[in-house]
Amino acid sequence: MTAATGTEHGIGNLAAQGSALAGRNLRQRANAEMLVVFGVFPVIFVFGFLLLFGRLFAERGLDYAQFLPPAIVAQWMFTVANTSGAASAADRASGMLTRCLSMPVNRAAVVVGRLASDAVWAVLAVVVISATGYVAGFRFQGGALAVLGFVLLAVAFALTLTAATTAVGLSSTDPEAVAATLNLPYLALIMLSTAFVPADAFPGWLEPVIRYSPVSVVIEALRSLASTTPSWGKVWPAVAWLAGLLVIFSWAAARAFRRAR
Amino acid sequence: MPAPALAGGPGEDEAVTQPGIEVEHLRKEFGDKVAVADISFTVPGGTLLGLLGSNGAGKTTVINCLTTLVEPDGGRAAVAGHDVVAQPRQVRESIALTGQFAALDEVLSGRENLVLFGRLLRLGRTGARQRAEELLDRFHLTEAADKPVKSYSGGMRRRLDLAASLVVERPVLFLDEPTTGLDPRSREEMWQLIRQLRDGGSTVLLTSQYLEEIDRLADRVVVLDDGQVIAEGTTDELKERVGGQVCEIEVPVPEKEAAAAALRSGLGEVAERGGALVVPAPRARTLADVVRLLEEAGIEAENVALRKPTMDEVFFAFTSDGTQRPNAERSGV
Repeated sequence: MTAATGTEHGIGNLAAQGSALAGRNLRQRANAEMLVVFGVFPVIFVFGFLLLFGRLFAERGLDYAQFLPPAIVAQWMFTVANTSGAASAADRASGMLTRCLSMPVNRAAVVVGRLASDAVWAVLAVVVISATGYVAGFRFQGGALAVLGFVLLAVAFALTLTAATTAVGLSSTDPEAVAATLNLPYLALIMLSTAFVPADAFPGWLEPVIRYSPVSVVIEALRSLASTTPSWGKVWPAVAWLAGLLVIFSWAAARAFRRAR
Repeated sequence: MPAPALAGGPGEDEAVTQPGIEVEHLRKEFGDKVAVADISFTVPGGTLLGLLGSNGAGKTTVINCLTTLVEPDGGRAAVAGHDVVAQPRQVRESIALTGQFAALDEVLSGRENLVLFGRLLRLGRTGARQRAEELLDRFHLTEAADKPVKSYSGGMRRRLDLAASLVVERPVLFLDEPTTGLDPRSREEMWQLIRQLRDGGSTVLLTSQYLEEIDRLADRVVVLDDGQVIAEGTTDELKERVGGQVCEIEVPVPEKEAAAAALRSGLGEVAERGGALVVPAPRARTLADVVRLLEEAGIEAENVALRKPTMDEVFFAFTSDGTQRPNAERSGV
């Protein structure tokens, strides 16, 4: 049968086509700009915030060098997702998406390729930020399993955000407008979280919002996984949040994908 | 497994049975905008059909329906014998699309683009690389093969785009405005390549805004306007109905009456269009006749020129000479 032997069906085609597209995505963005975004900015952020707040929080008994890097990781997961959303818009604008969809290529390969390349960027960011943090005094204190959990949770966070930014990206053909639009929720969500200061530093009426924001919950889970006492109690709310959001964002992304012709 | 049957394309004796493209009462709406109202046409296997129309006439929507990118709201269409709605996968295995906007990765080189598409079509790394080499050679892109596509000229880009759609040869090709925006020389090159494909036995659906392009390449023409077929036939039939070449004469306004009279006496038919006098000019000789008649009448023309009919005139001809709009009359067919 044609369908059985074609190039569109089955896990083998999906894997091969997904990896071809992932390679292309990585190759496409392996440029000077991404080197700065992933090699230089994280260093500036880690040492910059440490210089700003390190001594201030030391007075309150908070080790800011241990507190900060998980937040910078979360911040960079937003960067990975936002860049991905803009890339989706660019693929739609250039006709690349149209060409792929007019070929007998597995329908999911475009998505799989995008997720795979985003996962690579996310892991790269985690490595760079952890290494920078290490120089500043940050340590993974909970053992190998906790480190693995840290990386997995960070990547899961990035990919969940990517589902949302893909939905936005595929609804547009203007990558720059998408990047600008996505900066707004990113800034609001990261500012209104426990990324840079503990929840009790916010006004009392805002504190519950900060504490239960998914961004805070994920960052607290990352902090827990890097601490001497990794706690499942801190991790499962993050997993629950991400699972829930992933369902909603994937639905939105799938809908945008169907309309992006 | 379709590969063996597809690889060779239709042979001479198969051409009759090889199914091409069949479109019956196709309809597509986007919101409350009707992009395609009711379009029917057939492209016999191994022939090239030109879809002629201005921007917004519905050309790209027809292509998008036939390439399974959008689902039609009404009617039916089959490509290479497969229904576009019921068998989209089989359709995609039988077609290649070269879009209006060259769908290439700007950052990757020409070679990398072709290898990517080869890998997506499961030729394997080695197979994809080999095929890329062949295509680069055939499309005269070997020299620029390792430069990023963003440094390519418009003509090189279109050639690479066409090459990308031939990574695996398919029996049916869709070329959506393949020469829009190209300089005359690059256009001529593209025409040559398209002619080769047609002569190689491919079924080709070509859209264009240019009458000349269709004239040079197409076996048959379908003229679209406002989501409907307003004329169809061979290029010769079409030209005959439009009226062919004309001679356009511009004279000072006070002398227009006298000039028209002089031309009418010698050539018979004179029309006025857009302020200029127009006479049919089937032969270049007409030009000499016009100059002579004006001279004898003592009128100095501002401009005398031979001109092929424009798209405007095609539409003018087909929408005003009583050609029925097909919605009501043809719906029973």
